[in-house]
Amino acid sequence: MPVGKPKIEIDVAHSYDSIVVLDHIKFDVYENEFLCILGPSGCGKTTMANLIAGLLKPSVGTVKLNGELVDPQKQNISYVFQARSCLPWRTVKNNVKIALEIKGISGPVAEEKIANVLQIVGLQEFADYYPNQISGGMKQRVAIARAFCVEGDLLILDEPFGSLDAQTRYVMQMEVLKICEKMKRTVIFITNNIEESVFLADRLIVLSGVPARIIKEINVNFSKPRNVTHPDFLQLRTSISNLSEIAQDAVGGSR
Amino acid sequence: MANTELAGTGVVQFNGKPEQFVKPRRIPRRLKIYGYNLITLGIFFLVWYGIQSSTTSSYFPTIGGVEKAAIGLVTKGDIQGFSLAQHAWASSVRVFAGFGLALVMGVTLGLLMGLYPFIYENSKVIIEPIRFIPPIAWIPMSMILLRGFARYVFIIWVGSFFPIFISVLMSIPRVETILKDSVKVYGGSRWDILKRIVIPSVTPEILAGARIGLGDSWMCIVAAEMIGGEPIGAGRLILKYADLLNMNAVVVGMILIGIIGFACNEVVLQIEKRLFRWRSQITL
Repeated sequence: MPVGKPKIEIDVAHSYDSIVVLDHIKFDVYENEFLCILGPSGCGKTTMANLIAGLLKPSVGTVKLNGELVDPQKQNISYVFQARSCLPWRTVKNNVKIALEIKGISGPVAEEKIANVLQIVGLQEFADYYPNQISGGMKQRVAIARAFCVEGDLLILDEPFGSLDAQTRYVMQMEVLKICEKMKRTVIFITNNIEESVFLADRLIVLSGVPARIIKEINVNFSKPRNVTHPDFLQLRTSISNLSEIAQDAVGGSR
Repeated sequence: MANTELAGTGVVQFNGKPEQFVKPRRIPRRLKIYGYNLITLGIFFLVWYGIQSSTTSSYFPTIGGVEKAAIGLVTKGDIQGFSLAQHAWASSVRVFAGFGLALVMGVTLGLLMGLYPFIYENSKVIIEPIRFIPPIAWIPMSMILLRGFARYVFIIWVGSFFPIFISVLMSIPRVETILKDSVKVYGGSRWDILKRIVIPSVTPEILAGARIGLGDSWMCIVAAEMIGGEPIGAGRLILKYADLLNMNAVVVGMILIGIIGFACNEVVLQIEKRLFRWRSQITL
């Protein structure tokens, strides 16, 4: 468990009309920590991401970033959405640029940042393509590039690789690890994929099905990058999938 | 690999020159479409000819009669001496004034009420019934209340405002939340969302609405010119010759409106094509 003052303090419950989506959820995230939130599909993970990003107000409780109530207009938050968030009327390059435009960064500084992140996600040759000219996986990489080109207090990724094929997914996971190593980011990574969460996380929060509660918190202490076939890795993975509530959902779940 | 076929495998390689696999078209698609449209036009004239030879009515417009009337209207002008070009120009000016006003108001009010739905919700009781009153029903009112140019503009405005207004209004709730959120999360203000997401998202609908509105404006021109009082305009031309029971000249007026409307529509379509290149691109 990391020590010191938490960077993000989450203490919320949320419901849509009469449907309770998040039961009492309370956890902290620390500076430069890579936190994974693992939960079955439909358990309210996206709701949680939106609450943490300040896009949605919790029914009860608060989300604090650096000790203040979270507010995207005051703090620098990067967010990779689960669904396609590319603007179809902008080219790949200008889709990345929009985040910088809003932050008021322009000129050669912006150009350099964009070129850099496009290089990282491997889209530099597609800079002038429109989203409907590229594949689904490439569109998701555009969203990732957009999130990475803003220097932020917090990076939220909501099932960012759900639509990618296994190979690209692995490459992107490695890239995210590398970038986080280099840029020192506090990351909240949301996924329904057990292996992915064990591969990436410093710390892991396992959620139940809806209404979501925290059923387990796990510190993952193996060094990165991790070997997915190492016995310790496999053992942790198995122990997570044996948590009854996850196991139940995996049968009926989408993955 | 230099050759296009991997030895023995039957697998064809592109060799870096994909054009070698694309068969060149002998006749460009565009030309083909023009050709087929000419054939359609020919069939239309054949059917027309068939009807004109079998009808016993002496008022029925004939191909030859319409042609003669058209030539006469172009070269000598109508019974009052106004040429076809003068009629066309007068009507175009009226349509564009009425349509222009409808476009500006439709887009502004559509955006406003789309962004603040409570305005629309709470004035629905007035807006919706007005929408269903046909432009012709406004004629007596505008004859009493308006004078001169304002009469044309008003009738055409009534006809084209609602299609534009409604299409803009209805397109705003369809702007995707995730796109708005992706601006909001980086600290974008309401203005940023409007400028960078909402307006680009609804521009295609604005133009589609404009195209429908423009068509409706031309449909109102005869009604508008019925009450305009001036002896000039394509609609007026039709009415003038209708009184004389000269159907050949009436048909010339009808064709004139049809052709100008068609041309306007093509122009807007071309603008759409240019503006929305991102929509029609092929998928990789």
